Amino acid sequence: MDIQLPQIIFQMINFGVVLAALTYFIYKPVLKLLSDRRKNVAAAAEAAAAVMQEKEDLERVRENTLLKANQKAKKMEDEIRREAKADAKLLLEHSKEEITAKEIKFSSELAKLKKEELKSMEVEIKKAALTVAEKVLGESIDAKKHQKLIDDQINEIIESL
Amino acid sequence: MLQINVASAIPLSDIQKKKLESSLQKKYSKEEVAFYYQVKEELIAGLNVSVAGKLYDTSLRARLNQLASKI
Repeated sequence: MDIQLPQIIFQMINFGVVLAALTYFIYKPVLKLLSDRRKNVAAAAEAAAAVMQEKEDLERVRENTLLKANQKAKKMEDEIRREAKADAKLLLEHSKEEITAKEIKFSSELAKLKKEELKSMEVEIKKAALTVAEKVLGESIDAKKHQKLIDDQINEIIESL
Repeated sequence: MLQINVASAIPLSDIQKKKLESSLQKKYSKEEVAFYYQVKEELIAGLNVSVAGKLYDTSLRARLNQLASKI
């Protein structure tokens, strides 16, 4: 088999043309495609990172908002508790005052009632004492004593004339 | 005429009446005097004499009333 130079050259040119065609139509587009894909991936990663950052920011905002809401709720709760405590204290004081006033009124009424009762008892005792005295004296004075008493009283009246 | 009312828890004896009348007549000698006697058991004991709008009450009832008012 002879080596034919022109054939070799032709083959070489042919190979060069094919290589050039392949380079131009396949290799460059594929490189460009890869490059574009890399850019797209990078852009997507960047977007994802931005989204993640945004998510973290939102999360932080959410936590802050939640914290503030909790603090506000706690503050409101404390305030309500304080107000309720003050109201309860006021109510208690008011009730105490009311009870004291009622106690004073009751004591006063009781004292008045006691006084009236004592007065009534006193009158009854006086009446009873006089009734007893009348009965005892009336029964204990016999006719002789009575005559003597009248004699004495006549003298008394005569002296006072 | 001067009216003298004598009330007593028991009837007065004549001696008692005379004693009382003589004293009162002496006191009111310028006037004609009439004595009226009555028995009032409510006086309990003793007597009272009412003369010229004045009452001399020495009865036990009067004494007890005085005591009651003092109490």
